[in-house]
Amino acid sequence: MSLVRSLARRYAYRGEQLEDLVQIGAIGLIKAIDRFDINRGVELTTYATPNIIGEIKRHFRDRGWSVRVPRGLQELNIQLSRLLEELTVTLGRSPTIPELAKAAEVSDEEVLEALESGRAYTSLSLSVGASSDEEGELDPLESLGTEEPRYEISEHLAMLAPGFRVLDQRERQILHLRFFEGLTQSQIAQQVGISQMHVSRLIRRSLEKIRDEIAVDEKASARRG
Amino acid sequence: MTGDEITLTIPREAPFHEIAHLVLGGVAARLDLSFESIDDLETALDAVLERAKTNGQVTVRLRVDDHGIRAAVGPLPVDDIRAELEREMDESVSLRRILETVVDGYELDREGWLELRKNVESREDG
Repeated sequence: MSLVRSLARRYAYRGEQLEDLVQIGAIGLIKAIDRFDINRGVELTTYATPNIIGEIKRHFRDRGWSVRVPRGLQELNIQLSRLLEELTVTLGRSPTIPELAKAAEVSDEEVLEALESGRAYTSLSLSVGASSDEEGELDPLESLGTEEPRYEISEHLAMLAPGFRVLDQRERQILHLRFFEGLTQSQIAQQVGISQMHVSRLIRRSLEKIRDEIAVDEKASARRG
Repeated sequence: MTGDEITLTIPREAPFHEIAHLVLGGVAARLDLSFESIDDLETALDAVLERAKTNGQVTVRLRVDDHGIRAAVGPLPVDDIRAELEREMDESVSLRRILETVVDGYELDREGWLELRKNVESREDG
């Protein structure tokens, strides 16, 4: 734990309590211990360091995104999420930005800004069940339906595909449907029983997690090499 | 707007990708691309921007023609990117798999610029 504390101290000046960062770093340490292979001939501390730092950085990224979004944009995002569902049904296709703007009675630019901000809004709890954020507001997308997925994804992807092991079952399923089965976001939304915007966020979030995980592995390999 | 080019140079770190999204979204909105098509294009853009590791900045050039929108990103580590794009698709969510799923075309030139293409007709898909 002295390693975790030492690494956490590097980030303690960014507005978080040191003890909180130590707890977060400890999660990275536990993950590293789970994956550590003594036969590779590398010290545990060498292997664990990028995992601990990665966990702390992920925390800052998630937390930073979740508190920066102004309330007005949050509210517009909630409205747009509903309109996206309604217009997709009405039009029989994904709506354009001007169509969303007209329905929401705002400008195209406001729509784009709200969509962009909203993509980061719930990054702390994107794939969990219904939950509330720190301000007591329900994730707008989680309230739109959380029917259990009927599609069974093959779990071997988690073992074989780089980065997949950090994803939960729903994230794996959605990436599988999008990038291996070729379903569109709206088709996935229908199949999984969540909103299209939620699918969009989960895809982005999952790709980020995979990239982070691969980067951690690459750093660990470089240290070993 | 057809024939115009917009050039945006940003630091390559992830928080600045948001700026590229807003510019790309603004251009794509004027072409009447759907939410889903714009989102796909942004997914592709993120995957490419993530690989721009040659220096501290990355440039995105946006062009609109009669067929749709083209977003060229560079400079990229050309050998690494080419290797990724030529690798057989396996069970990983590789750059090639992402691009072949979400854009209508892509092309890497010798100088390390990767151009993504999304057609206006794509709004009728899905």
